[in-house]
Order: sequence, then structure tokens, then C-alpha cells
Amino acid sequence: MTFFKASIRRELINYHRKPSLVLNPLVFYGLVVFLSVIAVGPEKGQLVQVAPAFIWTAALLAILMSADGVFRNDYEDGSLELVVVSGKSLAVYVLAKTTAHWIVTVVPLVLLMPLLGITLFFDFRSIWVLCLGIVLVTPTLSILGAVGAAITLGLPRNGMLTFVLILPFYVPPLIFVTGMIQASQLGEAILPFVYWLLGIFFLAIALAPMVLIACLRMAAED
Amino acid sequence: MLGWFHKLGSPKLFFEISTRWQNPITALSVLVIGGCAFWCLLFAPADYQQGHAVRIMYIHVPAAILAQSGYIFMALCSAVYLIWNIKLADWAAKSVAPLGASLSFLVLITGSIWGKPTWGAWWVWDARLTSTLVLLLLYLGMIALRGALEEKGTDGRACGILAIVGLVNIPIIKFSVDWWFTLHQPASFKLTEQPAMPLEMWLPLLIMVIGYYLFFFSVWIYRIRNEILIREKKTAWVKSWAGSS
Amino acid sequence: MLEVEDLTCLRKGRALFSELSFSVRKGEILQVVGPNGSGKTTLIRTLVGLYTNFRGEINWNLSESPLFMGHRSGINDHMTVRENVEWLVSLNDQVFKPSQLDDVMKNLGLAKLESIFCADLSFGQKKKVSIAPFLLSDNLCWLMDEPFSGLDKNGVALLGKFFGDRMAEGGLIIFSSHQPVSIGGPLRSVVLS
Repeated sequence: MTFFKASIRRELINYHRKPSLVLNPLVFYGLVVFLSVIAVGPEKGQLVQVAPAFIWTAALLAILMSADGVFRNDYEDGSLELVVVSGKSLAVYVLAKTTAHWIVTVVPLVLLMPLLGITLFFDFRSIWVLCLGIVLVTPTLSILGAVGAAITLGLPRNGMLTFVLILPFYVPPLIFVTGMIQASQLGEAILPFVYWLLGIFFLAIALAPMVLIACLRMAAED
Repeated sequence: MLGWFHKLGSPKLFFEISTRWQNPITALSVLVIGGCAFWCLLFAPADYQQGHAVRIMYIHVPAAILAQSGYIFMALCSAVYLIWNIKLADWAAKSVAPLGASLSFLVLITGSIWGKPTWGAWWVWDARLTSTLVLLLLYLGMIALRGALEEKGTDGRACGILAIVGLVNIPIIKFSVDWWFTLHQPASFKLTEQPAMPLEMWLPLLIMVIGYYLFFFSVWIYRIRNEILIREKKTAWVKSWAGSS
Repeated sequence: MLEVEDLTCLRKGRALFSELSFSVRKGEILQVVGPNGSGKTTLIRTLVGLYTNFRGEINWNLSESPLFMGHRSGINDHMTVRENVEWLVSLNDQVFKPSQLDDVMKNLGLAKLESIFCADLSFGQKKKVSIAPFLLSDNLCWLMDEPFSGLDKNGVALLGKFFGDRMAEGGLIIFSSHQPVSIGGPLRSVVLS
């Protein structure tokens, strides 16, 4: 537990010292949404229908993009191999990493959501469901993003590779979270979708640490 | 059992055995697929709804089965490599990926050609086609990752891990895509819900599937033999093999 | 104690060193010597368990995992000297009093730099930061890759003295270095070619 606290503290200090890590995904997110609005056109009826699509696509991209660097710094400066050698639980280490990443990228995103919702003509209920969706789906996205980052760790910097590897795995969370928004717009129950998103999250958090640990050990080897 | 396993993991022995099997499997696959093609095109009955268009099924369905089995096979090879550290298994997994990608691509192409007369459109976001598209993307990811790893000069353990993650995910993806499909209220005609197939249709289909398996393994053996020769080019046995042939 | 038998390390299909055998007991210091590319780093990394592509036997008879200093410093540029030392020490489960930390910092000449970002340190100063957790630890088994490189004269003398102190306490130290090092006591060496 103390190690978890120490790790997460270290992560947060790092994000605090490099605010661009927090701001860039957010700005990127806003830009993608903005450009999509330009592409769709300003008409209200059309925007309300299409907006959820690009809200989610932008979220996936922003999270994946920022997750790509989660382990890179530690790998390059040698901290990673010290953690591996120390015999400390790597599971705790990756949990701290992904938790910190989730907090600093997703909390601003949720805060931005009402603002975005108003400009896209969402009603109050839709904004609320949107925020719920973000809170439910992003932990899974963060974990999967970390898996992508760990698998490509130590490879020549190639931002696209992580995207190519991980985006297909984003299909199920995307389906359930958009389903949730649609269900709410049609006035149907959203609870099944909540359960599904939670289910996927639990599966991810149960299996991903094994994958992450294997990848990190591998990366520390060379 | 394990001893036998490790013995087969020796590239030299595997190369010798697979060289012996290469031609028979290739010949057999040509024979089965070629012969069965005649059966499928000329003698199998046309569908009462779709007419002769249904015959594309004999390419489409086996390719789909092989694309999926190919992924499972690749993940199994990767697991063998990760657990027992047998290099040959890594090369085996590598040899599957482009093959699986081509097969999934074939599924999409034939599905699209089949869609034109049946649905009236080249592409319909049918649940099965969509899952196959994701499968193709997974294969392409594997190929991209392999390329990056080889550029750096490391082995394929990262690929192996990704393949296994993909294997766990495929059922989830498939299920979610089915859900998505029903969510979007599809048009009423369906490719997937034909009346139960008569024997005269599924028997040639089954034989075609067997033919495709043979084809898959014959191409795979070509590829893995190539891979062995490249990786072991500095060893004495490859040099003597190259000299003698 | 550490016993190594017939250790062969493969890197990119080539044997870096083969059939290496040696043993180190408590109270002994072993220097790994050899020219660039002879596998010093790989040997240290193999001993500590980071590198697994080897044949042979490595037996540690220890209750805890050894302290390790790698080729890369493990120091985060965006944290201060003190934050880095605290993090590194937390990896080793070490409990210490604040006064102990102050002493070590003073010894290493880092006292005035405590709240400076490590990005602003020189290579040698960073080296000293990564030495600090070793001095705060009760763990007597150290594995260090090139601990002397980049240190100034005083730093080298200081680290040599620390080595001597640890040896007297029954420590077991293995380090690599291509320069001759004097410590307060006898020094054994393994030569890689």
C-alpha cells in the first residue's frame, strides 16, 4: 500500500511538473470535436444526431494518445529496471500508473463535457448520461492504452503503431457506451449498458496486469 | 511427450520433416479444392432465393473459418513460444499472420461480391462482416508490430503477448458486434439465417473447408521453411542444404 | 553469498562470455573488469535477474534481493533531488530518519541541491544521487554497473571508502569498472575479454 501511495504520488508530481501531458490531450480532444462540427455543419438536428459519434472517437484517440507515454519516461531513464529488480509488486506499479493517468486525463475531460454538451445542443439528461458513460468507459480505455504502451515499449518512437494495435480492442467498449447514449436518447433503460461496461472493465483490470507485467519485464531486459 | 515437443522445435528437424510433407499437402490441397470447385459450381443445387449467387459461399465460408482458425493457431504458437521458449514457434506464429490477413481480406471481398446480388449493395454492415473486419485489423496490427520488432532486432515475444490478448478479446469483440448489429435494427434480409442447408450443399462445403485447411498449411509450410532458412542461414546444415539443391 | 557456475550469456546469437565461474562471499568485493563490449553490463544485469538469456547456474544465498545500480541512472529529471532519493529508497523498503538522509546528502555534497530538479544536475551529480539510496540502506549486497564513471576525484575516494566500510560490515559488492579503483581493503576481480 505504501508503495502504491509512493508510486501514485510520484506520477502526480510528474504530471504536475509537465502540465502539457494533461493539457495536450484535452486540447486535442476539443480540436477533434471542433473539426468534426465544421465537417458536419452547424444545423442543430444533424449535430445532435451525429455528435455522440465524434465525441467518443475523439475521446478514444485522446486517451490512447496520452496513454502511449505512460511507461516511456521510466523506461528511458532506467527507473523501470530498478522497480523490476527491487522485487516490488509490478502489479501495484502498473495500477498506480494507470490510475494516475486516468485521473489526470479523464477528470478534465468530464469537466469539459457539460460545456461541450451545450455547444452541441445536448439536453441536460444527455449530458449527464455522457458524463456517466465517460466515467464508466475510460478506465477500460486507459488500461488498454497502457497495454499498447507496454507492448511497444522500447520500440523506435512510432505513435501510429500503438493506435494500429490497440484501436481494434476499443470496439467493444465503444459499442456499449454509444449504445448507452442511444438508449437514453430513445428513453430506454441504460442499466444493461452500465453492467456491460462494468463487466468489460473488471475483465480488463483482472487480465491486463498480467500482460503489462510480462511486457514490462521484457522491456527491462534490453 | 515434452521431449518429443522440444525435438520438433529444432529448426533443422522441422525443416526436414516439413520438406517431406510440403509437396503431398500442396498436391492434395490443389486436388481437393479444384475437384470440389467443380462440384460446387456445377452439381451443388442453387439456392431457391439467391439462385446461383449462393455458390460464392463455397469460397467465403471456408475462408472465414480459416481466418479464425488461423488466429487461434497463431495464438497457440505464440503461447508455446512464451512458455517453452521454442524459437520455431515464434517463427511459426510470424508465418501465420500475413496468411490470416489475406484470408480475412478474401472473406471481406467475397462477402462484398456476395452482398451485391443478395442485398443490392456492395457492402452492408453485417455483424459477421464487421467482426471479420476487426479480425483483419488485428492481423494487420500483428504484422505492423512484427515489423517494428524486427527493425529493432528483438524477438517476437511482444507479438506473442498481443496475439494472446487478441485471442481473449475475439469472443468479446464478436459478441459486442452482434449486439451492435441488433441495436441498429438491421434490414430484414439476412445472409446468415438461411433455411437449414440441404445435404447437397453442406457436404461440398465441408470438403471445401478441408481443402482450405490443406491449402493453409501448405502455404504456411512454405513460409515457415523460408523463415527457417533466413534465420539459420549461418548454420552448417543450411549451407550444405543450399549447396546440395 | 553468490555462486556462479559455467555462466554463458548470449546476445543477438553471439556468446558475450562463456563458461564463467566464480563465487563471492560476504565481506568480499568483486570488480568486473574488461574492455568496452566485453559484457560487463550484461553480466551485472544477468546476476541481478534482468537478463534471462543465459546458460549456467546463478545461486544467491540471500534473504533479500540485492541493491542494483544500472547503466541508466533511474533518476527522473522532473523531480527534485530529494524526491528522487525518497522514491529510490522507497523501492528498497528502507525506513530511515530524516537526520540520516541529511547526513548522506551532506556526505555526498548534495545538501545544497536537495530541491533542485535533477534535469539541472551534471552527470556526476546524478551519479551521486543514485548512490544515495545505497548509503541509506541496511542491505549489504550491492550490484553496481560503472558506479565510478563520471564521479570527480572526491566522489571516487568517497565511494571507495563506502565500499571499504561495507566490506568491514560483511557486505558483498560486485561492481564493474574499466579503471583501477582503490578501496580500503583487498579487491578481487573477474576479467572479461
